[in-house]
Amino acid sequence: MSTHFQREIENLKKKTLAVSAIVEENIARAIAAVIKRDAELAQQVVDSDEEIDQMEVEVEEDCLKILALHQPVAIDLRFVVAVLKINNDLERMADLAVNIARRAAYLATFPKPDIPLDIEVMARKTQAMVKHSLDSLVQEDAMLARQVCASDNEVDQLNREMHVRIQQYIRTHPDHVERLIHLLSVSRHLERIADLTTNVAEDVIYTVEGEIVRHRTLAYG
Amino acid sequence: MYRSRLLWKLYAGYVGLLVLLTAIVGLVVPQRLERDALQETRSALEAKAVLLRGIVAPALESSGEADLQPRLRRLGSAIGTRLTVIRRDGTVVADSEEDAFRMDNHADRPEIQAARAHGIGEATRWSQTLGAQVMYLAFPVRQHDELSGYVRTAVPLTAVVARLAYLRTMIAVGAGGAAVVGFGLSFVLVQRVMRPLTSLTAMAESIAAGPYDQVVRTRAPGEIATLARAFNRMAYHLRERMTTITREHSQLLAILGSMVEGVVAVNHEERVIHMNEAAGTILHVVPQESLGRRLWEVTRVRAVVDTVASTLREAHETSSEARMVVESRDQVVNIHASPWWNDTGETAGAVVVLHDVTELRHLENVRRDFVANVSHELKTPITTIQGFVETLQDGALDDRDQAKHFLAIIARHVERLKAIIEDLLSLSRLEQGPEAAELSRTETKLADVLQAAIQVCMPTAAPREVTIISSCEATLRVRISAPLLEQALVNLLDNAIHCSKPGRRVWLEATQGGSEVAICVRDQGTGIPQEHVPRLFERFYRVDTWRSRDHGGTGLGLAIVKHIAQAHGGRVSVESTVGLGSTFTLHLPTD
Repeated sequence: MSTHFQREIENLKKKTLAVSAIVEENIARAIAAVIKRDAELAQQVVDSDEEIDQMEVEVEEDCLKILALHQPVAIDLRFVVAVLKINNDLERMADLAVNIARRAAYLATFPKPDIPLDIEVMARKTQAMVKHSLDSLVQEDAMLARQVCASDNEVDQLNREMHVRIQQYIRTHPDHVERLIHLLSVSRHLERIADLTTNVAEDVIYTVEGEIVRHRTLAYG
Repeated sequence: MYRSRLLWKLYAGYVGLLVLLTAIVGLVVPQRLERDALQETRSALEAKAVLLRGIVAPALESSGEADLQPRLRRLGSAIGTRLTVIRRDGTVVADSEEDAFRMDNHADRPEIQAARAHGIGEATRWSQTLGAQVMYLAFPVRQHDELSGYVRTAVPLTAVVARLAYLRTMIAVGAGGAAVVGFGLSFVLVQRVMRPLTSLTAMAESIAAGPYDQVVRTRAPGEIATLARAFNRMAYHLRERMTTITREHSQLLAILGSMVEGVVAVNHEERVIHMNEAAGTILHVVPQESLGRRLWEVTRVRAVVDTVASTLREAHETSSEARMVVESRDQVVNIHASPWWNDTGETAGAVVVLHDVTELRHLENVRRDFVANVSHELKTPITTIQGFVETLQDGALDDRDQAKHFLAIIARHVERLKAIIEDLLSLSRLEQGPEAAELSRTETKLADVLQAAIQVCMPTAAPREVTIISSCEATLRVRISAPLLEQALVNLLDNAIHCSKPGRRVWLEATQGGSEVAICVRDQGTGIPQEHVPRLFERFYRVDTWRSRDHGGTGLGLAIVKHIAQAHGGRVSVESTVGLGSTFTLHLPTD
């Protein structure tokens, strides 16, 4: 294996991690913007999405270049393919972060609602899944990736609970209906982000073990 | 030692030499002996042949051959040699062992042919009859230059061969024995040489594994002893140097380890070559697990990775400040990276220093907010006062009722200004420490203080239909400054009353538990959201910033309460649930 090829793989890894860092940061900022009702923070997220889109294109081009020039095999091929897919998922996560940020900007224009609706638990869980899925990518840790897949159930559950409670509150506090609907959107977006992290985790398992585990019903954890 | 290849090489050399010499001796000597023996036999045959010729020549000429046979027979047995006389044409005239007429023509015998050609003929053949090698020697017989016949002598070589075989055996045994002795001696010799070399090697290996207090001793000859001594000296110096290096390294690690700032060193490949504990804490990674890995694998904090990358790329210092959320902790970290160079002047890596400035920035924010708030708080009443004064100056003074009304408003705002300034002053006095606050503590009945505070607040509570309920053990006495404590309780009660809806209650309770007295003010008001709690006791901090300030208050009440508590060596805490109410507790230690 030539060192030029090795270096290109390293660079690909580095770039993917750089993108993932920004995406992780944006998700954190978007959630903070929702919780603290900080419109400025929300705007930062929206503004930085363009950079992410550009980097996503660069990563994809690098992958195609590697495939064309070096025709990698075995684990290297799996890695490049996984990066292509993870890159996609990261970009979608970034878009969801932008959506959340937009909701945050809207919610910031309202005073704090009297209703105790705590989206923080679900947000923290989602952030943890994002972090663990990226950690498993860096460390090539299939076990950690499997844990991420297992955590998705919890987030789904929290999302369903949020739906139920918001419906209740819409009935009892009809004047808060816009805010509640936006919060509902935030919850849905978080659930989508969690799903995307399981995709990333599955791609990591594929790279490390050579097995495609998506669509398998869970014997995880 | 016996695994040493040198030992076996040396020994093999000796053995080879011995084997070679023995082989030479064992092969060459017998060969020489054989040649000499044969030569001897040949000479003897020759001499006998010459004599035979002298005897036979006249007989051949005179054809008196008939009596040759018995004469040859006698002679042959006397000298132990076979004698043969042959005519010119090859027929055998007489033979000392066989009947002549029974022998076939010898003209074609090689010794005869050679004799005819060269004057002498010799051959060695296997004789079927005798069962041995026989040597023949033939001379021609000439009479007056004319060939008349041949004489031939022959003798079997059995004796010679047997003697030679015996000699060969002797030589072989002797040389072999000498060789074996040689093998033994040379082995001992080689061992003597190898022993110190082996121990030197062992010592070198143990030094390589870790400096050892070993010394090589040897009785070997001169050069090896010198080598051993040089070795011992080298081992000693090595030990010294290792100790120094280890000590300096430990010191360096200790210094780095006890720094508050985080230090990360990377090489030109961006691999972590060192990370101290503080850096691990700031970045939320384990230093030991990060060694040798790429920086961008270890941490995903973009500011750190980018700063280091730009330092390496541009070979000069880079600083940045970044806000990072690591494990849901919001930190502000100052990042400073500088490149370091190796001996050849190339960029060998970068050193990053991470400084957690979260507290610093937080305090700056607090200060900024405070200044902004103070300006606002002071400006608002002053603006109002100014407005009314201008109105009065513009002519409202003429309308006495209006003027009175306006002056009342001005007076109220002046009072407010006064209250703010007084609170600020008492706060700054409290902050300067218990002495400056003229804190004189005396043993006081707590119940009295509680009652006094309630009295002060009754005018506020009554119109709002808020009931204050107090409970305190009558005998409870604490060393406190009564005026200050009263002020703190008034502030807390005031807040409680203002956030309670009509008909609600406020509890004021004092209890003693262990080494402290806890005084709680509990209300059934709106409660305080969790995110405001850490900043609640800051000066001018308000929970709902857009609500109007007209339910009064300077915004300093809780800050004063906190400082009063601290001046008594205690603290204040709050528990609150949104929608249910809040409980503020003063914890005062009982000396």
